[in-house]
Amino acid sequence: CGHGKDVNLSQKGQIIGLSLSAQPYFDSTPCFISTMPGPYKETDLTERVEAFLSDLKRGGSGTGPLRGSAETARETTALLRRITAQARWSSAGDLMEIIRKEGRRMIAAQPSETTVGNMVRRVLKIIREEYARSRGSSEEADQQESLHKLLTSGGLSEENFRQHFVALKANVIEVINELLTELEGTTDNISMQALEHIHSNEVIMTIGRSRTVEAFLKDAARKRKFHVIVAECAPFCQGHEMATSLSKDGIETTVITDAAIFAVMSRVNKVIIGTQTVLANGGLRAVNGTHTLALAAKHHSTPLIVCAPMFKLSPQFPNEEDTFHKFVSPHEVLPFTEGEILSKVNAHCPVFDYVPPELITLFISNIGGHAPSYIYRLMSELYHPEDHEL
Amino acid sequence: REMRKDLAKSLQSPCFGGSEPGLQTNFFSSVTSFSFDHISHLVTGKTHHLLNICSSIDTTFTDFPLMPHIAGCGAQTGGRNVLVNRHTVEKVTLFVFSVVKRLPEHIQVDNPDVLKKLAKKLERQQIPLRMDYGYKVSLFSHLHQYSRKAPLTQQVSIPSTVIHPAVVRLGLQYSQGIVTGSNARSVALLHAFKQVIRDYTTPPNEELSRDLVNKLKPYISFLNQCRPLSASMGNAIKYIKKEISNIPSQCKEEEAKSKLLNCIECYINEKIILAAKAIAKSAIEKISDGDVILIYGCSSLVNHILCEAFEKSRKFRVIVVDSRPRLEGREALRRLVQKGISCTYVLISAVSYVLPEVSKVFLGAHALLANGYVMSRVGTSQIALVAKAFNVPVLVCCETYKFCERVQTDSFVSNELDDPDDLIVTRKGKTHLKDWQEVPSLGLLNLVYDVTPPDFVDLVITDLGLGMIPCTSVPVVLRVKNVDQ
Repeated sequence: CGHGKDVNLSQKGQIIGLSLSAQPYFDSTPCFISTMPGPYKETDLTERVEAFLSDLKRGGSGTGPLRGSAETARETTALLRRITAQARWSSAGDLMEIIRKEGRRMIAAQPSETTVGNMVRRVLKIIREEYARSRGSSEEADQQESLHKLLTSGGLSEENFRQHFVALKANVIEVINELLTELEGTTDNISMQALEHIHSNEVIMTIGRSRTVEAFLKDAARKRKFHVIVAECAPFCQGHEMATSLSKDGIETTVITDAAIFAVMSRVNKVIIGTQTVLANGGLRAVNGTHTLALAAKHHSTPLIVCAPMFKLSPQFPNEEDTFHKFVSPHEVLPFTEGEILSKVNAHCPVFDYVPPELITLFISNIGGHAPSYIYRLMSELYHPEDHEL
Repeated sequence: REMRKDLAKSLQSPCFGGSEPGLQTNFFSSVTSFSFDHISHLVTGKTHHLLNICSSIDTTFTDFPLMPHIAGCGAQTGGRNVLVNRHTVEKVTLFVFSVVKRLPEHIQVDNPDVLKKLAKKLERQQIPLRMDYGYKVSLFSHLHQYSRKAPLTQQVSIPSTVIHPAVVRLGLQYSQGIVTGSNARSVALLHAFKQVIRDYTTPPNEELSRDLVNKLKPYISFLNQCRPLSASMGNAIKYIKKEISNIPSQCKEEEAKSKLLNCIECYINEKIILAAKAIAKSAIEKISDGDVILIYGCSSLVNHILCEAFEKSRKFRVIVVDSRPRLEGREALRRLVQKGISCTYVLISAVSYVLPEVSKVFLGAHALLANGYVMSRVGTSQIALVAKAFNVPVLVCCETYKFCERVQTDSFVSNELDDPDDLIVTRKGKTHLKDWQEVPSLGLLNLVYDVTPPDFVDLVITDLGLGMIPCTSVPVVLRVKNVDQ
């Protein structure tokens, strides 16, 4: 066991097996699959969950989480796979309850990190699908939650998930592994499409720092020459990091202040941005300053392209919650050195901005390009409507 | 006599609009030094000569409408392509065309000939030439980019024999950013010139009206090198030059000097102080109780308006929007908080967050251009854009002495580039852009001004007439002002 605890192999009644093949994505510690519950397994699991939760809580400052959202998605999925493997459950309904419970805890730790919730919902959908497949009912029928069906049969109710299938666990774990493979390749899939969208001698504008956009532009720069203007995105100034990284690859980069976005927009050919979340109506929750950028692009009829992998798609709507905005310490905006006026002034430092779907031209995701009006359809393929509220 | 010869040469060959540019410049060089009384005297004497007089809208020549001075013409002022009355054989037929004015040097940095001419001129005036600094973004290679760490005063010997010490101090204050804001810069300039006039003595065999203007030219070049002149400063300088050249030659030196000092005092009083009062009076009508007002950066006029409104017991609160790297909004914040106005402070990237609760936006201006565009601190156009998207009215407050006859449609052709090192910031111990000069493909852009299109601005509050005009009426105001003068 990776925690350095001693395992007494001579203890009777415990079958402990070592399986390495089923867990290729873990860090070096192998995982124990036990058919009977043992005290080490459960504490191990809860420890890992607690560690993950505290990581999420800590990564809440405005400069971005401790890891990028792709890593968060991967870690969440890996953790869910571990829960599937190690927790006690006998039917699909039990498993879904456990995952929902853990999912709620994880989301509560950091509400603004929506990838966690998205991965939980994906896994729930996987479980539903596998259950349906094991039962033998066709997937098509289940997916069509038509109005007629809702009225006549009352929908697929919870008690349908009480049947026990032996192969369910292995199937679910297999599909989760596929999901993990998909997550590994999202950035590459998006960067592969770069040459379709960037021609030579273009001027591209971006804001802040997005690892997806960085990979996208670097991939295009291998074959084409173009110019990038980066808005620095005060007060965290992540644009500086982005600019140094791009210019080291030989891309002509210029750093501008946020105030100059509209002034230089008339010479920009395309705006390419990343985002934190894609909302259910096709809008974005992106870093602050993006709304201004989108309005300026609309005014000059410059296309706005959003590079967002599918795991950022979230079934939330923008006006649903008071928790849309997240604020960090105002000392980033008005530092404590301005002591005399600090107590008499309200200072705000919001982290996110809402960008309505009318301002967006195109979404580029790992499965291709879409218009904002198509996002609702993609969502129905990824998540089950009953999972929207965890 | 010299001028008569030049004029006679140009009168001999009839020329129509712009076909012989050399001839036109000849004519101009003889025109600038003299008032138009002389010309009208000459022109009425000749017969059958087609005179190509271009009514110039150049900053150097404005305020001298040709037509009223020339007898019997009765054409409109500020004429653009206007054909004047044909006169009888005894008089002169005039064609009036508008001419493309001479381009200022500071937007032709990419032209080596212009740079050479400038270097020669500065050498003649014994003013050092300031070198550009750092990698310039290719879109702006026609503009200067100076470093604040290398002010021009380092190359000038102290005490300077050529430049008045008040002017040297002023130049340093400009280049280090100690005096900023177009009102502050103009007032400081006028005070420095007052000092210059006080210390001035006419050399023997020279006329005060001509010599003083020549004395001021190197000072203006020096200040221009320290920091490009603003539109308000340009207008103030024009006014001073006109006043000086209007001094009659028989006036005694002491009298002339006191007259000039008086004129400058009057100008400051009328155009800046009283104008601010008038604008505040009009603007206060627009502020109602319960308003949430958004302001950007530090405009002395807008601050004045808000303080006046607060004194007249209007209940409102203010949201101050600020931007890097200048962070001028903090200065405005200090002044307002001192008065007791309740304020909120955000950076410009958060403007979409605060705008839903804002009822009005008040903006200051650096200059108002003749095509209705508002030239102001960079970021103003952005605020106007977002305010338009949220349907919040945008009011621009500007005194008439900042109205300028240039036209401009984007923020590229004429702008100012500030020190690029200002963008460097250290956060959490890391300075990402510290070695930006070493990376060949990285450039930093620190713009100072931008232009706001007139459809984003709902109202301009100014000190002429009723006070509230739409953005597009700026050329009308300019014309009215010209006729007055």
